[in-house]
Amino acid sequence: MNRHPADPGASDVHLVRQAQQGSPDAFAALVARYQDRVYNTCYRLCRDEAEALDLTQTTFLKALEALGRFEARSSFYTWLFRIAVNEALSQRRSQRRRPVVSLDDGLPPARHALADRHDVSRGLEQAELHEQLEHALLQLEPEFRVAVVLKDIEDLDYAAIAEILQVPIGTVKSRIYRGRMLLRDLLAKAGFALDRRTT
Amino acid sequence: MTDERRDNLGPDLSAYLDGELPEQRARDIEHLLAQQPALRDQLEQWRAVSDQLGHLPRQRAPGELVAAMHRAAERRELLGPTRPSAAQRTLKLFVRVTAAAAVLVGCMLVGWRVMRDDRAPSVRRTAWEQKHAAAPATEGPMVARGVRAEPGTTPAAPIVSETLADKPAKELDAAGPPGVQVWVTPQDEQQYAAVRAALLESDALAVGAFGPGASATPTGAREPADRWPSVQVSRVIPTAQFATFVSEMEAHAPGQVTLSITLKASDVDAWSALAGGTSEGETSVQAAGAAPSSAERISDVADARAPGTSAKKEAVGRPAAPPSETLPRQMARRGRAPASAPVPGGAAGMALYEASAPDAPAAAARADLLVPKESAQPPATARTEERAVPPETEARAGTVSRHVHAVLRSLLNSWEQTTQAVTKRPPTGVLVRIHLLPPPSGATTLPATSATSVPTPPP
Repeated sequence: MNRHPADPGASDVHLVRQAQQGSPDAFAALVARYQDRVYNTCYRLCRDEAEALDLTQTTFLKALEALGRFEARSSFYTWLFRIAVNEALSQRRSQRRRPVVSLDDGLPPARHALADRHDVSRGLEQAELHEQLEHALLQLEPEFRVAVVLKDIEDLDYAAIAEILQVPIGTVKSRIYRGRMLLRDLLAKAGFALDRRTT
Repeated sequence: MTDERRDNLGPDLSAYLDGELPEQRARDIEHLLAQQPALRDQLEQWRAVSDQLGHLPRQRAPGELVAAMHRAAERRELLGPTRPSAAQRTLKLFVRVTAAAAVLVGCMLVGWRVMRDDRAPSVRRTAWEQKHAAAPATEGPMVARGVRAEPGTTPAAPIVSETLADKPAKELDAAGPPGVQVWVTPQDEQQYAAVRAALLESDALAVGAFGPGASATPTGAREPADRWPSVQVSRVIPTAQFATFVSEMEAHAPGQVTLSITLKASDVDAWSALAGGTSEGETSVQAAGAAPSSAERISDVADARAPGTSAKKEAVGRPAAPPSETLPRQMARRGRAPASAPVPGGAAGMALYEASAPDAPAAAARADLLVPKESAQPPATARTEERAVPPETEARAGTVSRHVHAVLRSLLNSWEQTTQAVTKRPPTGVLVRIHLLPPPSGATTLPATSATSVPTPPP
């Protein structure tokens, strides 16, 4: 069946094939399908809207350039995420010389201790927790941050993450574990002791 | 439990949370969890972290991204991939092999010379030779090194060692693709924010690069002004709208808009037309009145750039012109463009033009040398009619000088003619690269309301 690119039911494989044959509509459909996920991932890796937009655009432009060489050995989104993550990591590496802000200096002080949390609204508490969590995420080493973002935010399985990062599954498992440990410690340091009640 | 399993307990517990453990190992973990409350607490903490990460607000990409990527795909389909052609790849390989061979031969010569000096002191260099050999090398690749002169005399003038055929095509490419580069240098934060916002709001946005200085700390402290983000945007703009676009930029940053127009020809005839050196070229390029005919004139052009009106054409197709400092080199010194100077490569060539708005009357007289007043009107000898710029565009031009408009019209005419001559079809647009540079030092902080402020945490 020859689906139109605008057809939301068109598969990635179909759209990729059409895009490889020179259909701008098919490529635009792929962009529309994945732009939010790519942008969200990039944003979580750099926490800067302009930088995330830049990374997202670069990702899609590189994908466009390399589309002819894409052989569908992996899924399109895995391939796309690999480009995005590589771009983000390489950009972060080039910015390494910039001053690092420690968690102590950067995080706003936790205003509410666990004891009096019940006195504040749940919405405010959640917002503050999210704020702290985002800051803590940014403190992780890029390799741990990427693994945690792909798992806990993008909900990818270990095999897909391993394919994106081009590392063994055991390494993915280890990085996610280390990332979660560090996040938990950073949040505890900021005054949040997470348990099931928090969620 | 084996040591290995004990060591892996943490990662396995984390993987258990994700449902990524083999069945047997998952049962082991469940058994341990039932026996050890501390392990259960740890698992719950990680589960909470994971859940909270999953509940962070999702960021959405800007709506115009799809349209921009659609245009990029269309453009790629029309113009083809940017991958170098087979001929370019072959040339690149040839240049690399030649360079490697040259290095090898050079090393052998140096080695031979050292050995000869060691063995025969009588042929060592004279004091004069040693003195001049130790002097710093003359600047620029256009100058031959190791100029010889008799002892006691003034060294000979530098020799222009490169000819048209010496420059590989890749150096032509280093100056960028044909198109127009627009450099905007705001003078203060307000101008910077206004121009940046105008660029970002443009629906023609194709590629945006914000960095690498786009940073802010979580506490809101800003980086110094010299690390502000520069903005580089590539756009394809219909030629008819180009003057309007420049006018808009000029309105936001009066007198701070500089154009660098690159035209590239793929064969000698087209190059001749571009360079304006033949009868074929006596069209729009000559109409601009900006064609220098000597090395001295080129130097004048280069010097006259800032801060007033200037319109330059760097006639890189003229072999007898050794510029003291080429336009790209000048721009590179200001951190604005690649350092390689474009020199025609025999079968290919390039013309660079630069135009900026006037803001200093003192510079006008000098600029008139380059852009005669009559050039504001199309010369009677021009072979083609100047493409009309809509009256409303002229009206909106505001602070853009008539000189610049005249030059622009002429250059765009030339652009169209050359493109048509080379590609056998008229161009549909101009590839424009806009570079928004940070304001000069003085201002030290970004305004809190600027487009580059710290991202507000999602609610």
